[in-house]
Amino acid sequence: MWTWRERTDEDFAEEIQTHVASEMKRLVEEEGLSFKDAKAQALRSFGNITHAQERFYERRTIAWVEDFRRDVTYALRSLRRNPGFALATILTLAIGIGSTTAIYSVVNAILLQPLPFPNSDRMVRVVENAVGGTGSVFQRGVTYAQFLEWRAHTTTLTDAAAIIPLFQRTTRTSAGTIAFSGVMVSSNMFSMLGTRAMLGRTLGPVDESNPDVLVLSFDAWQRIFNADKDILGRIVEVRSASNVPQSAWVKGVTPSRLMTVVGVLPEDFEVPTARRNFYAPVVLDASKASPRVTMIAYVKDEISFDAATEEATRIGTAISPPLSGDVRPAPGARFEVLQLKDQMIRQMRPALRVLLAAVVVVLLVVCANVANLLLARGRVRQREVAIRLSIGATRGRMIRQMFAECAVLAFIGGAAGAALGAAGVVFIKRLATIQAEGILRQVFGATILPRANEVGVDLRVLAIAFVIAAVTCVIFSLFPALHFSRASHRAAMASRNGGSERREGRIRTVLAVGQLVMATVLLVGAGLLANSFVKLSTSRQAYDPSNVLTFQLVFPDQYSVARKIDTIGMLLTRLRAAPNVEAAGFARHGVLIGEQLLIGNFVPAIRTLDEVRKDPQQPRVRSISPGYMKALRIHVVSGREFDETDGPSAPPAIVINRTIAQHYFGTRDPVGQTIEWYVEKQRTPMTVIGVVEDVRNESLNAEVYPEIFVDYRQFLSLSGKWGETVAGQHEIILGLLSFAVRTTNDPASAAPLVRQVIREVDPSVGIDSMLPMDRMVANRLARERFYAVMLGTFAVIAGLLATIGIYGVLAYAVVQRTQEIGIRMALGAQQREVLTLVLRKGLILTTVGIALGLVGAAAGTRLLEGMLFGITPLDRMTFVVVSSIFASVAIGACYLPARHATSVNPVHALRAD
Amino acid sequence: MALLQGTLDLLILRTLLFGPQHGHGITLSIQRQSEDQLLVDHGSLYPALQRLEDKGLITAEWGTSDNNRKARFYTLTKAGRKQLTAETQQWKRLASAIGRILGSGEA
Repeated sequence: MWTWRERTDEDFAEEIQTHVASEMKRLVEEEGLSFKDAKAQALRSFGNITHAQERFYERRTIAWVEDFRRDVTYALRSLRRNPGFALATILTLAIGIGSTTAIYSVVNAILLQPLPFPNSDRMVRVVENAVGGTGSVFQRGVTYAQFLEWRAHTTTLTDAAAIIPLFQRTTRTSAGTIAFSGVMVSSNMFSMLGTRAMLGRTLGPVDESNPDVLVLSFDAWQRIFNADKDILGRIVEVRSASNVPQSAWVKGVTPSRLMTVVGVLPEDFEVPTARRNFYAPVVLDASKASPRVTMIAYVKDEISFDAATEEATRIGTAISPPLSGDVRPAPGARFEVLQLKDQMIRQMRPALRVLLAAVVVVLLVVCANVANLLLARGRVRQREVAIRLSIGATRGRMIRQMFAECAVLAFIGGAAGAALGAAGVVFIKRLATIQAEGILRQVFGATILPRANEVGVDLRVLAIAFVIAAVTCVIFSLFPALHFSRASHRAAMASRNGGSERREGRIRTVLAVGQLVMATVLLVGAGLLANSFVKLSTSRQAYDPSNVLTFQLVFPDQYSVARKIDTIGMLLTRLRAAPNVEAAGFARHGVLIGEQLLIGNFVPAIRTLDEVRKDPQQPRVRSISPGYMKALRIHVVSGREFDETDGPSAPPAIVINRTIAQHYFGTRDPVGQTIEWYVEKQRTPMTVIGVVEDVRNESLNAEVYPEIFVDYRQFLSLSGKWGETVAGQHEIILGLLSFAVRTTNDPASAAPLVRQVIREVDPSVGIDSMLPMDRMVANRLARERFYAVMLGTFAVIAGLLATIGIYGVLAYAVVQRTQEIGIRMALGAQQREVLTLVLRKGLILTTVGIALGLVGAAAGTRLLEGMLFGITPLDRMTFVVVSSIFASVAIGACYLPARHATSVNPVHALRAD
Repeated sequence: MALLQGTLDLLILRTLLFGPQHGHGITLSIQRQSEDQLLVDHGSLYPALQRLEDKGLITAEWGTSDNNRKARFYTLTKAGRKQLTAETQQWKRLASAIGRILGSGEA
């Protein structure tokens, strides 16, 4: 049937030639015609050879496929002749499709599927709301005892599981003692989450009778155990480090447990709410208070979350004692059922919404730009089209041709967009990743975006973006084509200034102004974020993070406070003596980790204890070592920081920060003043020996609060005096030991040396998350940097496209008015006047666009509230600077065509048709 | 006399009943057999041949003509033969019906 496929035009022509030749021969031989006449008659009798061939051709093939192929070839050729237009359109499309795809892929995946578990929409966490001693509302988990009762009585929840964090565990590896964090999980958790082990098995009810087993996380297996395939059955010593809070799993005084590795979890597994090295069955010490747990559960399908919360309050109130001590009931429900998914994304949802909005705006700008380009091209081709129509091309043919051209553009643009989208996803993932391990991983999180490592290009999104772009292409390339078909092509050839042309000009102007408006909104938004980011990263922190190596020290649990202090003392001495070390010291929960402790009351001579108790400005107490301020270059405003002379037997001394100094002493110099420290009915006069700059401890934009520093050695003897428990001493004086070592060379290169020193002093001491301080600062800025870079990229793209848009409109206007300009110049107009003529239009458009954009920005930047540091969403400075920069770029773009207009040669212009 | 619309296909098939033939040969054959009453428009012959080929009623292959020319020879297929029988009968019925109408008018 498809034999025609094998026949070529040449084949057919040859057959006809044979026929004509045979007929000629017959005419000559049988009818005696001359050769010349015979040829003429043979050809005549054949009719129109070309016609026959054409009819053959039309029959030969499914015409439009062939036509389309020809159109595509023609389109490619004509695009190659206009590389500027082709490149601009394809790039614009690629940017639009690529950025939309990348952002939507990431955001969709995160907003819709933040948890890698089946039915994660119904997964909840049960929490208790309360008001703490400082008056702030907080949420905490229920106790393990409550959890057990809960599980027995609930009718709204299925499959409840408890997760109990284990803090400060260590294990020994060939690289020394390292932090080894874990959680205890109820035996049904893995089956509830549908998790299968990658190696071995997960935990189950069988482990309740033999709890000395653990399952490793994929990360721990790789990092700590070098991805050892034979890990199953290996005995791992898990040491419990100092001051285990609440969840004391160790019975009696057993300092460590030998546990058998029974499985390794797959890479994508993460316990909701925590990343850990290992998972173990629940073992609790009945003699201690029931620890607080993370209780996760599924709400039954037919039950609403409100109903579940109602039941939670009922059960929770029935089985728990009333709140006591510092903790008071919070307004609203005491127990609450929270959707886990919502919890995970709540913090970033506004930001992701902003990004989504931004990318929609970019897509709009892209579409406007493509429309503009295609309209301009349609106009340029008007005469070509008119000529072709008048020599016999059909309208359908012309429309098909336009269609082919935009199909080619859309296809190439779409392909480039897909590639760009894939690259964009990789880029976003990299930008979202935080390089931190160990304890910092828990402080910062591994990534800004949950599950970002699993995000890939969403093909549906790609398809949608592609369709939007293609439809724009079709509409705006067919618009002029339809118009040609409607108008008399003779008129089109003759005139240059039809009414339709004016209408089209208006459309293009509106598109260009629209682009300016949208780009201004984005640029102002990005400007605010950038400004805020710069403010945050250059915010004068009281410390200097460069050339500082930080790490956390983890002691074995069985060490006494005295032994720890001895070890610390030795370590500090050795570190200070090491080459390239300028200073070394530590603070309990140091800078950027931070934890606030309120211990007793500090009463200066001019106040009474009662006054101080009612004072909302309660000073926080931090235990530090000599050298810490020097290592971090925290500015000492007056007096001095601690030194070796402030030992346990020296007169009790404190260093205070600027805030408390001003609060207590106003403008007077506090150095030498006495502050009485009241703890547990004990009263100790402390001498102020120095005032230091305020340090933002928790983060770069944390609040500054009054803070009092106490030397750790004196702290110990004082706490003994007021009868602090040993566990309390471990906790409030040592806690997490954040060391800072100032080096004269690159701090990263000092790391091996520091590790060696620590090993030499005591090989049982664990090191956690050793890294240069400026990387820690960078980690703290990661989220802000992410938002600023993302929105900034979009804004710059939109700005560029809008600039191209306004340039296009003006350049086209100049071409259109070449004749008019020529006449004006012939009549004696000066170059300057011509320049003004064109520039005026550009100025008006730019001003209108940017002004409208600023109005839009004023309304839109409210979305950024909460993402800004140190500026308001209506920051006047940002508005002014961004709009004036953008305006000058846009006017610069207007200047080019205006400049071109002045070079119009009147003679040529008038002669031009 | 020009051919009636739709009859060319039938005549081509009929001509090929006597063996493979090339385009020019088919033209001559039709003209001769109709005693030069019917003239084939050479220009419409080839589209007709192509049409028949597409329908699978004839096949074609290149060969050499009597005067040693390269020519494309057409052969009737089995389906073509069937079609020829059916169309011949239909044509005869049609012709006799028209003949009766015209004949009665003339008489």
